[in-house]
Amino acid sequence: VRNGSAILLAVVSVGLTEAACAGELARQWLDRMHTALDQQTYEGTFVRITAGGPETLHVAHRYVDGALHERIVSLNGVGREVIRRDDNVHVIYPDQMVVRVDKVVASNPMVAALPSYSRTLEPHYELREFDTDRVAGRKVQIISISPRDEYRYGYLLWLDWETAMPLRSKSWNDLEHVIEDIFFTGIEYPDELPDSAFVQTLDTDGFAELRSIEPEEDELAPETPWTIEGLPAGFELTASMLKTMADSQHPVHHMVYSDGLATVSVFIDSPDAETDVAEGFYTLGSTNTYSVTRDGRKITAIGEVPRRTVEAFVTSLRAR
Amino acid sequence: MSEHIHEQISAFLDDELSAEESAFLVRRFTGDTLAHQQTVRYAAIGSVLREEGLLANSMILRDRIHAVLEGAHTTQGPVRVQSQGQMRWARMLAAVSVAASVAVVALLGLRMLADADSSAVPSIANAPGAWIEPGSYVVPGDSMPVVQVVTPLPMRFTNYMMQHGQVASMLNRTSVQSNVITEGESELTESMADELQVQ
Repeated sequence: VRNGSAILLAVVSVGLTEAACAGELARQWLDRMHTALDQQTYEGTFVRITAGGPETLHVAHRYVDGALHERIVSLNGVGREVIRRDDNVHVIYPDQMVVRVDKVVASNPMVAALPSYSRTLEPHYELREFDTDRVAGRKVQIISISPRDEYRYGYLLWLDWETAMPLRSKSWNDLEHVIEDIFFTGIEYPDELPDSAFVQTLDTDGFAELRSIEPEEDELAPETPWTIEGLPAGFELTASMLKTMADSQHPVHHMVYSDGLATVSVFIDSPDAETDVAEGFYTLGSTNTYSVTRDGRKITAIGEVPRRTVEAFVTSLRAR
Repeated sequence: MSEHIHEQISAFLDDELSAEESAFLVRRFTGDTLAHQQTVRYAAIGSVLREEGLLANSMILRDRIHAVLEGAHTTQGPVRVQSQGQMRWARMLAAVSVAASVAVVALLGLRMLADADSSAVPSIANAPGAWIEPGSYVVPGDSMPVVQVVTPLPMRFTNYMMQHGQVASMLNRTSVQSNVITEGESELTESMADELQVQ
């Protein structure tokens, strides 16, 4: 793509009727993408460029009988892996000789509670459809999701013309900087992937295993003793739960907020918990975190949102 | 907002709008917040598409407005060195009559939109010990000084990231999960780095 504005011009010069449908077409593309991201079987290699530098990863993803299986392997360094299969997520750190095992809640109520993309986005993002392009040898449709305020990121998406899978995603922040560029260099859509594609290849004999404690049924949606007043517009509480992390016996209250696209998690530690979370901001890729200690509790907000947003969540948290 | 104004904004950013139309558009910015915001958003999108740093595009946008000002007040010099095309555009605008007060308001309005964040949160480029990646990949700025550290993440952060990865939108989930296994360098505020070094 040589000239972005020319593409804009092309979009707006197709005639009033067609142009009026541009937002609707973008919406339809995003709906297709949402389904593809979850249910499409694919395997490919992608590059992720952030302020931390470029990293190449391999991903295998399948959706079988309602169960999501996924394996992402870093092709750099020691080759860390994250494998999701059925209800478990394994993260393997060869350099630390550690395997983390987390339980994915079956029929995760939090994920189920998340709104789909298109329904609540419009007041906070502008959706536009642009020209076509090619990524990883495949024809793609370019879609933009532009934030209408400074509390969320903007996205440019290159969606596979046939499957609507995002073959490239660029996000930019409220300081008008590109903060993350993820693009496939090759991708395949086989009818099915074998079980072997989701098995760890690293020998983990002698590795320490860290397991989180699965929450009890009544901990999945506890009545939250916390509230956040003055949230950035559009963010709503979509779920809350108690979760006991792998490194502590003390449950953490986890509240989830979403504006339909961006998600912010707020973690409130028990005052009895000892934690290695330091105060302040932390940035990793497009994810920002902000932590403070209040009344002996560590409060941390994490999200693919600007720093001002995670900060707003933490500073606005109040006990009911 | 009509598609006509969309088209005008695109042409304006592409330097393809006539002088009269540019002047009209700049005047319109003063009373049409939507047009303001649309222009800023289009400038950002166009810049990302062109693989440019977004800040550079904001500068182009400002130059466009300045050029309109130039048309009205040739005694004011350009705010920065302009490209040949921009100079040509500016010369073309020399005959344009734009009420100075209107244009100034438009310029300030756009600048406020484009600078909204950088005024509230100073760019990292100005921070002590600033670390800037090549090209357009710039660490998000913050008022707190930052240092460069190497992963692994603290254990609790990894836990949080894992948990957050389960609830992140489908679009961001791959990115979040990549965070969990990344071996790249990440950014930490100085206060956090001090604490971690103590541990």
